[in-house]
Amino acid sequence: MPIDIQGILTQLEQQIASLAKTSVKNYATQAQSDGQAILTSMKADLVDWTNQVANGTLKASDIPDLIAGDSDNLKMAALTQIGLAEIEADQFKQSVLDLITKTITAAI
Amino acid sequence: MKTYISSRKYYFLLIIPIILLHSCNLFTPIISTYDSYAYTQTTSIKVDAINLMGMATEDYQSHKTDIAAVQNNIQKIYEYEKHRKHDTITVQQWKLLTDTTRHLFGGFIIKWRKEKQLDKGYIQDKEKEVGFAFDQIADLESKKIKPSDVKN
Repeated sequence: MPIDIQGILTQLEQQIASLAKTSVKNYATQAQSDGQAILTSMKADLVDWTNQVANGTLKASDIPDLIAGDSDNLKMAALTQIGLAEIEADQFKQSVLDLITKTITAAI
Repeated sequence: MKTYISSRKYYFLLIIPIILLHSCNLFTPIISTYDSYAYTQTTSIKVDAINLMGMATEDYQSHKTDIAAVQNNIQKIYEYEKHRKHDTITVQQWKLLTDTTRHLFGGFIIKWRKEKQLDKGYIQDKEKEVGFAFDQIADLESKKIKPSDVKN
């Protein structure tokens, strides 16, 4: 019996589209949550440093260096997010490859 | 017999695009896979670096050997990461962490050298920042796809 190639391609197209939507949505939610956590932490740091200067445990002259350190950590976290996006893309490609292999194997 | 040939013909029609996709590198990984050595070294050096930073209340000169030991280990992992395929993000993170013109571990050592000894309050705040930076490298490594999960 000949294989329904058109049917397989339509099925693959729908499944890949659904896979892409889920992957992007999951990544976007995680990235947004991570970004928010970093900003919240930076705000808390500023308040903390100001209090430390007030009670004499930190020199005011050290604050610019600490702020610059937080800024470097923003870059560090941004690099992590780029890396996570790349991992997500690799996982998506792996899933597509799996999907194609399974669909074709099942059809033969 | 006719059905058998027909199925085989379609089979090859479907398999050929997959082979072509492979040959076009479409399924080549964008980022390196997980490496347990890189992860272990990162977390281990983090502990050594934070411990070293805690010594900065004392004179820089008296800890030159300790500083050189940590810097040497960082240099080794940096070289290791540099030679891994598709690992540019992690290499950039190590550069940022150790760059002496910036304000993480590299900058901390320079400040310690210039000021000879540093205040405890400042050190504790800086340890949190440097710790966070190390955690970013370790977190990214831990989330990479395991080599056993890669299908070729």
